[in-house]
Amino acid sequence: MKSNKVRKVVKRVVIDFFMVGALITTLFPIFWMVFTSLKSNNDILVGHMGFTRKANSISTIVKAGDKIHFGSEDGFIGQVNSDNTIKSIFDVRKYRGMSAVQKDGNILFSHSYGVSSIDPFTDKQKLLVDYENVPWKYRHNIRSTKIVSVNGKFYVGKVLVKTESEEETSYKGAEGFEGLQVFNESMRAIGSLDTADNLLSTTIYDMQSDGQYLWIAQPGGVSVLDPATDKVIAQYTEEDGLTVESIKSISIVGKLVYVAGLNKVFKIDFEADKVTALLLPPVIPQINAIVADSENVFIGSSNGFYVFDLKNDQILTKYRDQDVYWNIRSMRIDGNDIWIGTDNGTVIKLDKSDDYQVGFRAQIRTGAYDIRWENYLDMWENISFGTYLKNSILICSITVLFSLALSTMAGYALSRFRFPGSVLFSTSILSVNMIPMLLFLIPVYLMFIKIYDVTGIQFIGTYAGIVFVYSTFFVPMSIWILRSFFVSIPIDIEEAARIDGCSRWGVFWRIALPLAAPGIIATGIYLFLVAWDELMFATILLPQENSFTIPLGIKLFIGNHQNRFDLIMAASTVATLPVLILFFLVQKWFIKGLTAGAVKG
Amino acid sequence: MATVSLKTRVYKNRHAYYFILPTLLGMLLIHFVPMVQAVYMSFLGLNQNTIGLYLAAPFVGFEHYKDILFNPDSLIRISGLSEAARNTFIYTIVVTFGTIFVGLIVALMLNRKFKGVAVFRTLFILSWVVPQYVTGLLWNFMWQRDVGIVNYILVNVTGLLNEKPFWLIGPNTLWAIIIPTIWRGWPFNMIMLLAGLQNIPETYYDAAKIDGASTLQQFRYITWPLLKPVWAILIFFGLIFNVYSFNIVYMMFGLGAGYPGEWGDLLMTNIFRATFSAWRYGAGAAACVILMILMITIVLIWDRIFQDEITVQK
Repeated sequence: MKSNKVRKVVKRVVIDFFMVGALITTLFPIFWMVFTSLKSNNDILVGHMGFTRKANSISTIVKAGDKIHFGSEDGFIGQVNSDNTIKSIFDVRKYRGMSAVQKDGNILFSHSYGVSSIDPFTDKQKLLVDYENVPWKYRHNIRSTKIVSVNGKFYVGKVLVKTESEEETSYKGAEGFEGLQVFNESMRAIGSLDTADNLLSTTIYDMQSDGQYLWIAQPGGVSVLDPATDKVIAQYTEEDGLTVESIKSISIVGKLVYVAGLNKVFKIDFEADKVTALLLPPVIPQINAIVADSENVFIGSSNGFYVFDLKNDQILTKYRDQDVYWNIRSMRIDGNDIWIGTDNGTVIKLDKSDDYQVGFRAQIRTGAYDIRWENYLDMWENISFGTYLKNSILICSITVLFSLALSTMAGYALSRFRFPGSVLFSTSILSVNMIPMLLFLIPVYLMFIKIYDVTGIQFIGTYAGIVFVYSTFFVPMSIWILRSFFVSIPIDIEEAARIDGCSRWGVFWRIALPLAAPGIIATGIYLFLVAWDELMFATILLPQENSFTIPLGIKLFIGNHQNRFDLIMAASTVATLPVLILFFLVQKWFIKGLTAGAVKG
Repeated sequence: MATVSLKTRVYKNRHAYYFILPTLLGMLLIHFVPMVQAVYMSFLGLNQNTIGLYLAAPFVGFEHYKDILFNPDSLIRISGLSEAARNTFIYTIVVTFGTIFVGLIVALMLNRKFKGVAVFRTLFILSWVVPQYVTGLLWNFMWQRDVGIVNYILVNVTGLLNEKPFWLIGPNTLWAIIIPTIWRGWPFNMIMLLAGLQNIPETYYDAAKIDGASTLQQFRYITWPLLKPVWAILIFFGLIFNVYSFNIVYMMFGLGAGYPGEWGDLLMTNIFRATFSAWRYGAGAAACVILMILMITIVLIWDRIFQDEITVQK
């Protein structure tokens, strides 16, 4: 007896195990759809299965008081203490992109949400400027590239980035949020500059001040701005010998300006109006940051640190050994110390007088997981998904209304009357399923063309055509479901109503319909699901892009120019959501209606 | 009962005719008229040149039927119609019985008394609510050779295979379309079978237990025979829906533009391409008519097999 009990328990556990396994297997693809829709397409295309972390590169290093402060791309602001430890001052992950400047002993950090001021002694933080007028859609895409102070004015460079490619492409409708913004002493916005004011581009990579003018590194070259008038007074472009497409970094020593872009560094003598390229060996890849002093130019590239000796016009390569192999993002020179911030969040101090030995090295936290909620925004920008969603919802709803009207009446008639021809009628309703839809589509398509030729009434590409076809097509199935609902309603009430003098129509309208309401709603939902999923007719009868339904529209994500699995999955999730919600709302009646037809029938 | 004249019966039930009149008109316009036209079109040489002529296109008699059935080099056959027919055959059989098999197993699991059975039932149905075109897109992504999760699980996680196979090229394609269809389709069968299971009186099992029947015997002699009306209907639906399956394959391969390949093409997608991409409307209609006749034959055979057990209310 006891072993029997044990066997029962074991059996139960085994079955439970397999049931949970089956459930996980079933739900996994759905989970994977939602999961993938939050990943970046680059990760998908290189085969990363999980989320990668965002870069947390050190984007700015600033000195305030006697301490070095730095800000990271992912919203971390730290301070290097005198005992060579790092103290976190401020850590807000949504503040993307950091740049800093000193102001009256405080530090101003410019980031994607505005400009914050931090007191280095008390660590008190205050949001001085809030970009509150940025449309919510672009909230995630705004980056502050640089903040610089000249003559008591503050200049902030802003750019909207496309998150996927990190290219500096403008979003449509986002004009006025990019470019150079000017603030006065008390951080009031007093103006802004963009290409209309002769800037080379609205994108700003770096800015430095030589005390008199503001030098702006941009795609296309360098612009020189006079802060007194806020006018661009000079530009250095390809014509002046800057042979790279964009300038990424600027360093100013006295009257000499060093600018860098791609794998080249140029020296600009503003007074002599002369540009000379430094002789760099071709081994240096992408240069992200440079700083200079009177003897050397220190180059931070994506594969390490180089020192260029201005006297001998050559690179001192011995300072680039294997463990100095960083992807450098930012640099700062402070007396004998050269501070370096790298792509993976390491802060390094090199000692110039001590043969560039590493004097300090610390790593900050990793970046946040790169969960791309903005895929759900990009999806609407990339294709006109809104139009397709609207088309789908409208077509499906109208179809449901029409075919419900037809099928409730027919279903009621079949359940209450045994009229001559009722057998033929119900048989033909059932057997319509046996005919391939394509057989109807061919003549319907040719018929619509002919109708247009003869009368000029267009059915192809219009709601009218597709709704007309859908309404009739889904009627047989819904009559079949609805009939069983009406059969399950007791006929006594109706007979009583008839005796009281109610008309046939009155009985149907006032008594049968309200009683069958759950069934009718369930059938309506079923019709909606079927219409939502219809593809063959839609492909042929809705050929123009403005009449596409969702499945036709989603196809545009994979085309000649793009292969966006992330957006396909986001759009698929959005397309699944309405039917999922509808299904949950009426689940009980729905299952009842489906099973009543089949099991008892 | 005395025979009542037809006229009286029609008059007595006149309201029924009012009720079915709109449906009747609609079905006449969109079902009956096109069907007659389609059958007629299958005898016409309707293609891109004669499309403007509509029903006045040149009459070619049984040309299309001959081409489809007996001429392997004809224009409609060379685009892979026979391969599509073979695939559709395998696909329909495997999917129909696969969905019933999986549905039955889960229905048996859910037909026990335990806490949270309603939650489990709801969650199991979820994959059926996912639209078919989403299923096609989603599994297309999951089957990708290098970035797909299926190969990742098979090779990197479990190590079942040493090398990542191609799923969307070659004979594997047939499985790549069968498995998503089963995944999408089985919950419907599960709902039906579960309802059928719950209709079987508990007393039958109690009696069998007293007689000492094992679980397997109980299933063999009680559950399976008593479920026959349900699975017979499910076979009926499965055959029809799967022979006419279109959406998943259409969305999975080249998003409609591409050819799913020798092993991924189904009859519906093949005829659809022949009709609307190659403008062979007449031949397409003929293929559909042949398919329709075939399906009606199958349904009649089905009816003959199950007619004793099933009394579909007419």
